[in-house]
Amino acid sequence: MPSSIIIGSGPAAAAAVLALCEKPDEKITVFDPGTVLDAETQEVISRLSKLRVDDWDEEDVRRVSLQPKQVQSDSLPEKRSCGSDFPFVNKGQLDGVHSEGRVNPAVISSAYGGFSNVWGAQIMPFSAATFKRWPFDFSDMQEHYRAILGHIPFAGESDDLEEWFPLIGSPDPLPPLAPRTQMVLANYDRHRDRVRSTGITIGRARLAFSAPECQPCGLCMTGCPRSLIFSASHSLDRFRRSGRIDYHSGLLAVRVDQEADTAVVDARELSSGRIQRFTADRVFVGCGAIGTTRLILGSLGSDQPVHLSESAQFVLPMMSAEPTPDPRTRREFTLNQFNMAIVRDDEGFDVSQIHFYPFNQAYYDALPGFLQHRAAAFATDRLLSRLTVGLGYLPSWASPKIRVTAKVSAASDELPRITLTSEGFSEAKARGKDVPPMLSDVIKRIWRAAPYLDLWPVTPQMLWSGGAKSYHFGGSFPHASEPDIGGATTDRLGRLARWDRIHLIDGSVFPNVPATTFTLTVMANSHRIACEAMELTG
Amino acid sequence: MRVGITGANGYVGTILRTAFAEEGHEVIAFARPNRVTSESASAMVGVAQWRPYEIERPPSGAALSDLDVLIHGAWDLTLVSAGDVWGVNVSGSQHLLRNAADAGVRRVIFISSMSAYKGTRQLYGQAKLACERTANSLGGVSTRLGLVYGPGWGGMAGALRKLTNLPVTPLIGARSHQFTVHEADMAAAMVRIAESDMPLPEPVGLANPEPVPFRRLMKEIAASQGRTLRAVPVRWQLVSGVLKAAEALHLPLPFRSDSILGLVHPAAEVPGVERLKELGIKFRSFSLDGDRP
Repeated sequence: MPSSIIIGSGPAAAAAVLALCEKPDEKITVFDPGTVLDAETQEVISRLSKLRVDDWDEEDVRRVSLQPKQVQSDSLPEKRSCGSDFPFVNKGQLDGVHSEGRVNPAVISSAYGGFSNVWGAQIMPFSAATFKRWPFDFSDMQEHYRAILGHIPFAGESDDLEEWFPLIGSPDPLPPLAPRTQMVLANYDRHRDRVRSTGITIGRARLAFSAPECQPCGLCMTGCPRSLIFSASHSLDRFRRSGRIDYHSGLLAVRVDQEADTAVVDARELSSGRIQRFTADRVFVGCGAIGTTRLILGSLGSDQPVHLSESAQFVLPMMSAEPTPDPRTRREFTLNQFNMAIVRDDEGFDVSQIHFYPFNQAYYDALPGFLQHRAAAFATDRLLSRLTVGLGYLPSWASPKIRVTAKVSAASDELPRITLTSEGFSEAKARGKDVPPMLSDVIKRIWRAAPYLDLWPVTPQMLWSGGAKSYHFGGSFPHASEPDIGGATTDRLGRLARWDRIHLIDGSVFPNVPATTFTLTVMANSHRIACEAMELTG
Repeated sequence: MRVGITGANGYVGTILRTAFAEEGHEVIAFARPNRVTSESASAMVGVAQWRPYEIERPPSGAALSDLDVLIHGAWDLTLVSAGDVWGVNVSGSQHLLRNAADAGVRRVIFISSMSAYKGTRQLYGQAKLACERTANSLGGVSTRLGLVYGPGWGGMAGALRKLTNLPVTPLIGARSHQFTVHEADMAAAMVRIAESDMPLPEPVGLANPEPVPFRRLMKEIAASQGRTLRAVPVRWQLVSGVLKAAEALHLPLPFRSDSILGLVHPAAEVPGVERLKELGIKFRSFSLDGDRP
């Protein structure tokens, strides 16, 4: 019986399982550290999900709606999932991970479902032009995008963004959008040609959540109490329930190797420290780009630094002249609602993208203290009725790199110590100063479109996130037409030259990271790799 | 059928509730509580039941689940700022349409306007377009009403009629046109659409497809009152500016500045004419000859 092991339980792992399940006799084993939401909170979630929003108990709501926590100054706060920090908690996977300067240290998740427990749920394919720099093209990916979009909940609508980012699946319509979103979209329709002449295209969000079941409660950003936002754990739960996978939690992979035609994984039991050995015909590594990089560097015994490409993140507050009704009194869905693509070429390659969020409590919490005082209520009301926050991304070729320097341990059951450093545009600092040149151009274009969209950037308040904060990074072992023997690249099946039974399936194999949303392509590419690998096995 | 009508006290709502009742349907009138006193409730011809309704607080699906048809015509025309229009009229309408679809209402009909067309510069048209999008995505029907005229003389037609009573009528958009629909034709079409299960995924225009030049329209309205139109062409930008200033001062006005845009930049054509013909729906050409004194 052919067998596969999947390391990790995030989106890449879930997509690989989806592909492997197509083969009825494939024995599939999945393992990860498996941190989950505490039982008491799970009980609250279970209670809330059975009730209508109007019938929720206030204390239950308070418990599951803790706001994001500031862990680094000059950086976006860290999200919570239904009041818990379990996606970020260190169960040993972060031991030996050191970050310098403003680089985010919480880069590997121990959670069942990985960081998809706290993601923004945005799903958009990469543009066809992006794949021109990859060893396969968009047409090779299309069926895998479709498979993933058929598997996960998908909400979105047809609009101008399709010009570069096809809709592919059949989405459900989005729930009613916030007044600000509607106003911007209407302004865009009205002044479309003028806005497009600045290189800006605007369209609605595309989201991995069950929109038809959404009863807007305003809590999306702290974790949907009705579990409508897709997490990879939902997929794995389904496969576990059907008995299709053999799942083990509490395990941290420390080595991968290949002995003849057998792939081998050593994993440490987190409770006892004991090493367990797993073998299979193939191993699929999906620990998240930095987790995978660390595991592979240790397994190769390589002290050579590697560089990850990151689509760097910035936060751009925007103001409008025309106010909306007080957003604090409304209950909208608060995920991303509309996107702005700033396209700097004719083919949709050199693109920056900004995702706009309607009001949520984090807006208020981020206001300076004096504006939260009762005496400033008049000013605060006016500010909040005009404020929109955009979360922007630059493509990796216009962003700093993340250097990963590994110090391999002499012990074979230890992961290497790694240090993460930001490199290139190294002077990139907060508050919009000394940031990559592309960002200045992006801001200029937004200013040109501002009078038409009534969306004015507040550049002095712009926040430039530290390295690895976007969570859109990868490319430590990029796909190449011919993998090099130095071990720095992988073939289209995510295999390094040294092993033909070990496949890297997450962002670590991306040749570049565009500013488009990331996770859908991680899933589609993992699905493609698993499908093509199965063809090899026959 | 049990037919719910929001905005049941408005010009169009009043025509519709009478028409549906005359066809033997059970009419549930949704109207603002402060607009429905016990006396007026009993005076609502053909209304089986009235339910309090406010556009900014749409009822949940449970309150709509006993309906076969919902016709959503409510729209707060006193709101002039974009934020209020999007935050109250659009948001409230979209939530209502969604709740109705979730509740399994067989036919959900959104009353839109001929001002709603791609590229419209009018806030009213853009707002209606956004609601149409929601209605259509939920399998509902969007009906774009032309300029409704008839014995009731309400809405925009009523406002234009008042203008022709002035000693000199300012003629805005003299070279423009309107698509018109008689009250009776509009009501008959709505009943037919409500009764039918024919999918209408694209908005349909309830109006005669022949454009009526604005000057002719005003002439006929004046003539229907036994008057001769004395009109002076006026630049629409000037009128719009004056109205905007008055709106900023919160002065009560018969016209919104935004309506001026609808008069000078009308839709180019009526959509869905052929589709409605399949349902046997036709609209008479514009004429007020029968109304002349």
